Amino acid sequence: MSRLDRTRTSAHQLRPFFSSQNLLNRADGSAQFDFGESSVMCSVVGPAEVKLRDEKLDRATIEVVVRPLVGLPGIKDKAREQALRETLEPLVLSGLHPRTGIQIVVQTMKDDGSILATAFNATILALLDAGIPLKSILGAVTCIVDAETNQILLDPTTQELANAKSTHTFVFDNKSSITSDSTQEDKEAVEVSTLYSDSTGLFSEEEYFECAQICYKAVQAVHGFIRTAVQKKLEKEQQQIHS
Amino acid sequence: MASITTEEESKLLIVLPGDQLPESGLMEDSSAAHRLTLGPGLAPMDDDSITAVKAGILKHNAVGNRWWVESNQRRYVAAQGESIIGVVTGKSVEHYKVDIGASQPALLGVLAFEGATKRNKPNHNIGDLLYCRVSMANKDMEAELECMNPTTGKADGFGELKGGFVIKISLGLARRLLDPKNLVLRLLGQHIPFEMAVGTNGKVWVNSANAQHTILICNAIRNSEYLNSAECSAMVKSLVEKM
Amino acid sequence: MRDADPSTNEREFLLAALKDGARIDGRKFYDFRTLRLTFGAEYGAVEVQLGNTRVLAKVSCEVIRPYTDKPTEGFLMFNTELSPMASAAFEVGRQTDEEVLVSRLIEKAMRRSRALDTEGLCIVAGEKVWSIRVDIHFLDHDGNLVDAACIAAITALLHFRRPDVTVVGEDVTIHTLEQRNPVPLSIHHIPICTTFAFFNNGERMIVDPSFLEEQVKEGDMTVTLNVHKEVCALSKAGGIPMEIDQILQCTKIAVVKVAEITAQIQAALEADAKKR
Repeated sequence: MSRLDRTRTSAHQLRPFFSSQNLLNRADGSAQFDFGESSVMCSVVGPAEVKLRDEKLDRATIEVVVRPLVGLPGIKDKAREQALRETLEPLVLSGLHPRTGIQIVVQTMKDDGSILATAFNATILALLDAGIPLKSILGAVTCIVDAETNQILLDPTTQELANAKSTHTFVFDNKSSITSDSTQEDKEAVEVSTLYSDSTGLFSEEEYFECAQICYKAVQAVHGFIRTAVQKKLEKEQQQIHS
Repeated sequence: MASITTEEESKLLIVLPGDQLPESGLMEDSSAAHRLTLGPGLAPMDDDSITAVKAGILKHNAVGNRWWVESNQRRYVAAQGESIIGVVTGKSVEHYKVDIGASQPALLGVLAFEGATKRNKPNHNIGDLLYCRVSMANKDMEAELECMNPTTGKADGFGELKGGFVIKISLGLARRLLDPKNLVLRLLGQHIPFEMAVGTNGKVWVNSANAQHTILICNAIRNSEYLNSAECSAMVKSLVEKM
Repeated sequence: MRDADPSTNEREFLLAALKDGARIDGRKFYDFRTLRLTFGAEYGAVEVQLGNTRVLAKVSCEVIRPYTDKPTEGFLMFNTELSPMASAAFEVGRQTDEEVLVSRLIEKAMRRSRALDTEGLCIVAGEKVWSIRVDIHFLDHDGNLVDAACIAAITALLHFRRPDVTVVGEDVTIHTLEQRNPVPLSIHHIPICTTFAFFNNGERMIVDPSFLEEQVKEGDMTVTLNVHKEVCALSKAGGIPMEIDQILQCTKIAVVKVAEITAQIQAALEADAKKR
């Protein structure tokens, strides 16, 4: 089996990840996340002052701004704003910061497909960097069902998306429990829930659940990557004290 | 019974939002009378589990069985008893409005100074820099400040900071600067005499004999965030040599 | 959310240090901050870092119908909307004075100085021309957005390649990147902005002000020059009045800065071309 993306040999292979946190000096938190040549930067400001008309007495107001790489923000960007906001609202412990605002700005830096999944991953890293209290972290992956081969391809590029019969983006949370004899490796996964699922195109029920399964497995790699990224940053901060 | 080891372990125990702490590990002895105190970064969830809500290092203090997550962020959230640096942004008959970098300006009573009376009280202008203590903070109200030690009524170093320069750093770095063993400050102190005030809100005030020295100290502090001991020594050395 | 004003201490320290011959970040008066240019895999995308100020420029193109009164002229458009990512003080959908100034300056520096040959964008006169669009994204605001945006825009235009076209009679074929090597735009010259800020009643001037320096400044001026020492635009919107000699002095300093920056842009473009 071969993919249009020549750098990958298997259908269930993700592109290489890259991430970087605390890049911007004016924001309270920021991060960049890449899936190969798709790259998204996210900034977080808050809990900060909020406009009176947006103020909520019992929790923080979450505002998401999605900015496209080319052109002015359109319907697609508004839809992404809504997807991000509605997925994040239950995840953020906004009750801890009533009458404040948390502003999240998402900027596409390079677009080679799977931008929404990339944006989700960049956003969670930026929220972690900003120290916003969260119920759990999340991870996102996109897959497609190829129109010709009916094969499920993970993390599609722009070129591969053009041949998609259907496109599916899944976001899963990651709750885990530190067992009694705790080491980093043997954290037990407890019930994982789907936070967001978006499908477009024509597909069967079977295909949908197969996609969900494959994405779920792939997201584990994203979760692991996020954990390692955060760990590395913390170790770097602490090295003067703990060396 | 096995318990979570943190300080004893050479490897830091890093937690991410959603990581659950088992009750068995939290309780040192299983007697019901034993109390558990949760600090920042940990919260009880709806399912009665105790879960990390911030990314950071899990810390434990046997006295009072205290558990918390040592995390880093840039946005300040006021907490009672902390010493902070603020800028006067407004004044009324009873209060000064002080910007402390939190979501809302804090209030400082015009009489919350050492020996202040209705007839004889310090007069501060907009733009003045004040070193204060947070006397009251909760999530629903503006924080309140005072410029004296509440038990003795003495100034204890609180009050206006005259001259010098201020920089903004991460809250984690500010806490590390307050450590008497802090490397970068010790190294700088060997070369340049200077005075400083560290606010836990990430504001650092530095004053020295001349501007060049103050600039150098500010740069060295900013640069020290992600350096290990050897790199930090080299960085200070190179800055001092260039002077 | 408005930006907080700097404290009196910061203001006074900055001014005193300038009198003493020092800038708060340790730079000399006429030094730019470290400039870094990073290219993506695609043509026409560049990220510019000027100290902590960060700007991303992305060039794209499409074929459209020209205006009837200018049938052979292509289009060059800039989008310089200030993103709240750069500073929480920038609101979505509300244009600030700063945004208008930045966008006007970029427009003057790039379009009105005829840096890009818009006639060369014509495919079929009166029928089809290329429209070139430059999206400038401000990611982090630590002062001097104009110079950073200008460097980003011109570097991205220089880096950009548009698809090749063949015209046979009325038929126009646009070749994909795989079919034929894309072609660079024809750029006449490289305008570079140099922004000055003035302090101490205009006696002290500095190049490339940081955000705090911008907050404390008494006035500013932006000189846009190319490497041939031609002035493309000169902008001084308010602030304290200046001596004529001072304007000449600024221009002379800018000549040196423009040569340095142009050399750096060209070196970066060459290094990138080698990698491809």
